[in-house]
Amino acid sequence: MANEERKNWRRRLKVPKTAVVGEIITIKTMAEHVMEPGVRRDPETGVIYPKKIIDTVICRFNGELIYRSQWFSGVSANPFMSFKMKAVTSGLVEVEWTDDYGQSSYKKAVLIVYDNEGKEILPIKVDNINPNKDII
Amino acid sequence: MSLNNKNFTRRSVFKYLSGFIVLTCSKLANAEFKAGQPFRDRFQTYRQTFRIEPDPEEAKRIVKNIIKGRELRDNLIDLKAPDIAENGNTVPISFSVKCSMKDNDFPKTVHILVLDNPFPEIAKFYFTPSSGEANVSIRIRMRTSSNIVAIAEMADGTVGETRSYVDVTIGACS
Repeated sequence: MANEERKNWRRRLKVPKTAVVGEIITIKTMAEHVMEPGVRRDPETGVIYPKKIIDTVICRFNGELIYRSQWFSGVSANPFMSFKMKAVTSGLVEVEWTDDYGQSSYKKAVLIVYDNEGKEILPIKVDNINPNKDII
Repeated sequence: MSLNNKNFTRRSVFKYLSGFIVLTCSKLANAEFKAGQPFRDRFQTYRQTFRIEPDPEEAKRIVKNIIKGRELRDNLIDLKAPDIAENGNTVPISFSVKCSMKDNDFPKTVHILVLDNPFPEIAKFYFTPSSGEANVSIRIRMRTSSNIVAIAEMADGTVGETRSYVDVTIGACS
């Protein structure tokens, strides 16, 4: 039982490591989950297995919500989803899955975005920081 | 008190008898579920236990509630779905909304419905301009061969709809 429960918590997230400015990248997500629709019965006893599905999937980039999806019982088991994102600056991509029991799990990945000249574009402008004042 | 000493008191006989009766009764109670009667779990809703058959009128009502009498735009969504799906448990579909993701020309929500499923709603997707393209692929469950409907609600209030028919050989339970 413990092993089966652990299976429900495996998550995968695939984000390309580098991108060029203005490029549209694909983010692939995969969650290992039973996605019990709440309709199936045990063939011997006739008892309905209780509903247990992933409700919401959220994607944030540098803390800003860019994409959200709400799922119902029609999504298949071990749900795979891929979506797009526009690369503007390099930063942190976070994807969060939430159960209908309120349990959540998340994965993160780092995306580095390069200029056309080959320079990295940082989310914060480093030139404006005064090292004597701002960094203690 | 034990059987070897053969000291049967009234109390000891009742003890063994009651244990025996409880065991047999519990077995009989479990045998009732074999007939396939609905058994309600603590976390189960009324809808789950009794509405297992698909209801086409409710699917129409859900579509009507999303569109709300607005005019449909042509050629807004590209819906890619297989013509024949062997396994209804995983039907890979993908859609893309044709629009420039700039101010007021992006889809706020995209609904995906399968009309002949007992629960026709499958997923909703909410986009923002910073997601550079409204292009999603996902795997869904289908009970019988039926229409897949994708409805996009744009930020400026217009609506677009596309349908595609999928033949399913082995249906899923959903």
